[in-house]
Amino acid sequence: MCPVTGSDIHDSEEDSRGHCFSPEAIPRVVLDWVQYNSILSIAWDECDSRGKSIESILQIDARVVEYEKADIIIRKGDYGGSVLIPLEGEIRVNLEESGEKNFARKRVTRKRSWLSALGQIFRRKTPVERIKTDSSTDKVYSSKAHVPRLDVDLEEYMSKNLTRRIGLGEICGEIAALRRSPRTASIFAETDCKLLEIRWQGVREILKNSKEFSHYLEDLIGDRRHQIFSGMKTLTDLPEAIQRTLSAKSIFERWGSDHWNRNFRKIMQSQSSMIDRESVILQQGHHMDGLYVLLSGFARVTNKEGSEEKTVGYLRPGDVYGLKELMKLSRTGVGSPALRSIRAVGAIDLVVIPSSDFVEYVLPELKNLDIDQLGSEKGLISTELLDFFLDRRIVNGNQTMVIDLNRCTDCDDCVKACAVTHDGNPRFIREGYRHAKLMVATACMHCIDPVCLVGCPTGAIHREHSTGNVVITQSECIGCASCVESCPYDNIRTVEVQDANGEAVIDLETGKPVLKATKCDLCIDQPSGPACVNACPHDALHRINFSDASGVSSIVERITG
Amino acid sequence: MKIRPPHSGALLLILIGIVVSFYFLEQADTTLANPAVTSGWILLGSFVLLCLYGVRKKVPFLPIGKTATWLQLHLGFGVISSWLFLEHVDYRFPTGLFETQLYLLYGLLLISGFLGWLVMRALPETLRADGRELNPLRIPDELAGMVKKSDDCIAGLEPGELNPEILKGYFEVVRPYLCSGCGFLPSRIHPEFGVPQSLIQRLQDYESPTVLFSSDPFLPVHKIVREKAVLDLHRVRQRWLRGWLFVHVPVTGVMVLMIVLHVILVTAFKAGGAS
Amino acid sequence: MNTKPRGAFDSRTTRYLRPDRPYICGNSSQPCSSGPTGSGVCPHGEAGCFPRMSEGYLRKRVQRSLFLLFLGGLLVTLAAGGNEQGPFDQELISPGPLSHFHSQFECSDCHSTDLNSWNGLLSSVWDGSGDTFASDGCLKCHDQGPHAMSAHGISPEALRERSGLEGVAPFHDQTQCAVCHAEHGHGSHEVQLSDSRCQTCHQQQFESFVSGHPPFSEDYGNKPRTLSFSHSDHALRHFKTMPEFAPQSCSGCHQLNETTGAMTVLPYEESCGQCHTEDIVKSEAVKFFALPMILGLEEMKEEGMGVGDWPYIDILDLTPWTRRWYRSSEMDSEFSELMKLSELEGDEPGNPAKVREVQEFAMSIKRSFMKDMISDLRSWIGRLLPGEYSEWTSDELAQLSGQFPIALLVKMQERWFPNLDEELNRFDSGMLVEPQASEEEVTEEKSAAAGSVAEEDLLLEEEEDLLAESEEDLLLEEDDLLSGDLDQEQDADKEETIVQEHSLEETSVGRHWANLGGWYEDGGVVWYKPVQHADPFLKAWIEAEIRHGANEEISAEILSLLLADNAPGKCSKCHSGVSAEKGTLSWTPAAREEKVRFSKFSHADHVFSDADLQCTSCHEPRVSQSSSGHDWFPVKMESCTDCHGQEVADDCTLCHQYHASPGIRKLKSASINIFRMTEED
Repeated sequence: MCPVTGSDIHDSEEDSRGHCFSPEAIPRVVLDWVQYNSILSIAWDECDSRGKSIESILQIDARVVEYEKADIIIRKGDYGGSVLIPLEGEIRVNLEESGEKNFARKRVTRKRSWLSALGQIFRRKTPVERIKTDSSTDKVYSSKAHVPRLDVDLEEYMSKNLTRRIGLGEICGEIAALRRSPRTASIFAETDCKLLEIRWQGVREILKNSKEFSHYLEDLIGDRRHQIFSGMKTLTDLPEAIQRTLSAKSIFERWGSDHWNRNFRKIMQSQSSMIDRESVILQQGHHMDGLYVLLSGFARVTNKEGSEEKTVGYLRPGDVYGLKELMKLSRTGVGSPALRSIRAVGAIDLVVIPSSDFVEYVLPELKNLDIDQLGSEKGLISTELLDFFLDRRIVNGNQTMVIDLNRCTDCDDCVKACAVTHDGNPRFIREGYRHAKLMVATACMHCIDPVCLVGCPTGAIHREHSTGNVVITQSECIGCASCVESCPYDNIRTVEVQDANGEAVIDLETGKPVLKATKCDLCIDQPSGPACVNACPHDALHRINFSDASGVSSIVERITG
Repeated sequence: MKIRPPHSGALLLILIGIVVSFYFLEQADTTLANPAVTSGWILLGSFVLLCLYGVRKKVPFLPIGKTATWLQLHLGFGVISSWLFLEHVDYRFPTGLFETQLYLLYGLLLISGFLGWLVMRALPETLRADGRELNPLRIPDELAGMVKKSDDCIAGLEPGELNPEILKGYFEVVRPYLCSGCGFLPSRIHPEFGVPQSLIQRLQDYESPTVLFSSDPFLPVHKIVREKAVLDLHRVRQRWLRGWLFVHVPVTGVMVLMIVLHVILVTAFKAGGAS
Repeated sequence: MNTKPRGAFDSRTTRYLRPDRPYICGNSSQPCSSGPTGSGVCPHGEAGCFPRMSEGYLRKRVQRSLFLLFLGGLLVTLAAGGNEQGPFDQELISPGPLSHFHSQFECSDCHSTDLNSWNGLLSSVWDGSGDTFASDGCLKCHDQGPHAMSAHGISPEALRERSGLEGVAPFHDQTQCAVCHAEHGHGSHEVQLSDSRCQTCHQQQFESFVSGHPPFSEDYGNKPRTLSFSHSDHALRHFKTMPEFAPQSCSGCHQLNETTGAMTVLPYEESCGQCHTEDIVKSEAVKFFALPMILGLEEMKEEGMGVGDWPYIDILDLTPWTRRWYRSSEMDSEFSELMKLSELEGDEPGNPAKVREVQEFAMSIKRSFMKDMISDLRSWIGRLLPGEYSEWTSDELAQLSGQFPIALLVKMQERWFPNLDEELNRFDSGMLVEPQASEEEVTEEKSAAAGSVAEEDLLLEEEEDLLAESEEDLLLEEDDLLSGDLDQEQDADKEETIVQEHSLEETSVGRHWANLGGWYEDGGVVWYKPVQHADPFLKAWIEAEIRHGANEEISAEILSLLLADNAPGKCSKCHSGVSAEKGTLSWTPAAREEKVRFSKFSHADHVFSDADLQCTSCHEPRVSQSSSGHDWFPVKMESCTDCHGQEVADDCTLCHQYHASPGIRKLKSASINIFRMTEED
């Protein structure tokens, strides 16, 4: 059953399942059905033999969800960390890109009203880190606040658009769950249906304990890997047929030894040059064999100037390299050697679309505008700064807090604003790495590859569905600090919580204070967005999304003058 | 010292504000309204707008524009307000007791504001130039650490390694210096030793600084003293950077009180205009 | 690359910094999560942990302290000032000292005492009424007339008329003094009105004086003439023939009044008098009083009727004053026909009724004359005035009477009605007015009457005494004198041997004697001959008739008599400003202070000496007079720009002034409590 937290605030029967995915135990009938009819059957015995029964895993990390006809179960582009196994009814995956508009989000995330926001000023500020007994703010984070529906005639839609039924007991949603990437396709309910939802922690547990299942899943991902193109901004518009063709012809590669975040701290402490320890994927001047699409990890784009390799750019998951060279090929018919080198920062996964296939399949689908934009380098940023961003893996950030030290007056208004919006508790430290007059503050960057999620046993730390922002559900956090350890940037901190009287909450079993992981939540429930940005009187504080090259360069240009 | 030029939007706002106020003043003139009353009401309006900036800072979570934008508005209205203030007092010195208080307070408010504007644009760059990225909250810890480190250095010495005079000098001059505050003006630094001139003068009584700072056992302490000198300069700048707020903000509070009283008095005693 | 060591913010060992808290933890090596309490105490009671006040909290403390300090100061002030004078110490809230002239005032002299209580003060703010006393305080002393707060200080109707905007309703808006005039050191009390304030009412239609200012009016610089002096006649004719009288420059006649900046004409004596006094003194005398001639006195006697003595009138003309005298003599209305005649027919044969009527009339004239003689100068002149007697001041009456001497009255009686009392007595007793005396007696009486003329001097000497006597005494004495005459004649008969060297026959007649002017009787008529320039008697009568005549027939007659070209004194020859037709009474150009003036021009600022600036640079002479009687061309705007060029200042108030009413500088000194007396005193 659920791990016993022993914390003295979780004493009621209901709350004893506090860290489980479902408030109610999964019925025996469902478990039995799953054991024999679903894909999990292949892993069942193996897990049992390893002493970690799937049943116990499911009891913690799974729940039964029901959808009505035409409900949208998974929306393409959303962030989600669970896989689904249909139990009853019919669900379908939408395969046609043009139909995706019907799945588009109609309502943005609910935010606090102004009145409720204003109430924060008057809320009692002492004691600090007071635990919330009403989890009112948690509700905003909860994943199933509202079930969206397809607003079309379902039969007509299915007849006109290409969809595929997912059979009972099959598994879906695994790519996003395991790659921490956005959902690659939308899934909707064809009839009223019932599904088993397993969050990725559970899937990971099963994978850990079952070779069979992990092989199966690898094959499955291989079979469906054309879908990864949907997750890429460059190739997202390709029709499924082309995606399939491409995935068959492309070369999937894995470079580098460790995942980029492993041993990151150790690497940072060594004084040797980062660039030298990175393996070269593509050598400048060599034959350009295709379009390089980065699936995970980061890559450094360098240019050789004299004897020195100068960083001129970076690639994040989903970024491509080689457009310029391939365009030349398509225009002149003569292949161009690689203009830049690409190096793997840590371990990376990438796919190379061969040149001929690119010209044949991809190019006609791309619009000229895209090519010019994608081919451009982040040229306005100096090499030193790029090195800084890459060496520190700051390029990971979608919302990196950057402070212009030429403007900052140390007034701490940003910290105070942060405290106001978080019940008197700041959620970042206005200190951090600096490069010249630019400082990267110790605030959650809401990474494109949030490795902090990896270790979380309860799923308290997760990505918000629509935006992908990383948030922690306070009530689900058990204070294990695995995210704290995982975060390579030291942006998550545990705090000792206190009750309303200012007394530290003590774990009765261990006698130690109860901890909760805290970090910047980007003021997700505030009407304004990040209060720190709002509060800075000198326009010194920015949130940078490293995917947005022009945004990055405009802010950087402003700071470095 | 380089000063970041004012925001062009703020300058435009100032221009527009002055033109609009001028229009109203002119309008007041042609309707035989008391110009001091008209400029007074506009001035009050500008004061309220200026105060709104303080209110806005308390509600950073409302989507009502960035505080940075508000600050530009604040600065723009500050300039407009000072011009209106001069118009209001008709470019002369006040004569009554209460009036003089108002005048001085508002003058203080405006001057501290402009000083703040200046230092906020001039100082951060110099502040960072010393390479210290130090959260002001950590400075006391840093200082305490210095004292401790320096004490450890002295305590770790073998007996007789330093002559008693130097020890005396350490305990009577150097250590008190490490514990002392930074003052309001940067102290003059001795170009050779990198420590304040005043410290060297005081040390003269105990031991020649040349001998002292070149003696090996004292080198770590000398390093700490040099660090403290740099840190002091940093603190002085920090003080100036935000010290003006200790005038600007409290005076604003008093100003509200005084303005309310002023408005009550002038409205009660107004002798009427044209009807 | 410039980065800090990682350890400084390692997530495992560091905690959030909390600058928003009032106190910052003092233990740097081992900060605790709960942090210092709000009052700055370490919750763990750790020794060596001294929480520090955060910067924001310190600022808040300073702010609070300063606020409380001022609030406290304010409350103390209010508490100290809380007397009957009001909630404040008035010294403290006074916006500044009062200007010199006002520094003696109490607050309540200018401010409503309603404001002396919190209640009044706040209700004044609440309903926006302000200081209800407002301008009343100013107008207590500064007399601005009834339209003080109307535009330009003159009546709205007058302003409208002046503006020529007939269709526009009169501008009744009231403007408080404080709109422009500030006290308590707020601006000078000599306020220059800004141009934009002028445009509250006046629409600006031009850029500057040089471009677009309306031209000066057709008569600018040509004020309505009150003296019909012809510069051209004098310069081109008279001064050529009499160069000794010609002035050397304009200032021979015109003089600058340095204080008002006005040009004035030198007094008559200095300018015109040298030549023209003769004209006045030699002019005609005024025929003031005459009785009608009665023809056929003998025939009347034959009819058995008579009127007694009746003067022989040389010039048959009833003067207007005589007719007024009739009217006020309470005569029977049946004589109205006779009253118009200057010649009464006493010998209408076969019409005894008519003759009787004449007799009756003549006797009522005598009765009236008798009444005058027992009256006094005041009531006598009162009977000759237009309008009501009570309207006149004794000063005016004195001038109007011309100090008519009693001696002349007595002489008139002696020569006209020697036996006035007897005749009246007889007539009233129903007897014949004249006894049927012999021819001799008649001649004797006649010579006696003639003799009395010779005694005029004597009588004049006694005039003073006589005037001092009461009416009755006067009459008694006259009787004595008359009887004395008879005694003397008897003596003369006895002493026939005396050489007749002196003869009273040759005594000067009135006309001859009074060549320096004054009263005289001649030929049965009382004359007044003008004495000097601005003769008080003539002036008084002209003014009286123009002011009070009210178009009365007699009044018009007097005026036509006095203002005719060849009239006594020849006043109207020069004083064209005095006119019966127009009803104007301007002897001389009106002084600036007396007029409603919207603009100002200071000759003082322009005329420094004759050499600096010729008068003629602005005032161009013309040879023939204009239709309005001016012998100067109006002043043109070019006169200004010729000297000032384009640089003429454009302020409206350089030439125009807001307060047009003449009372602008007047102060009601009685309103000022100059002796600072309290009511108890």
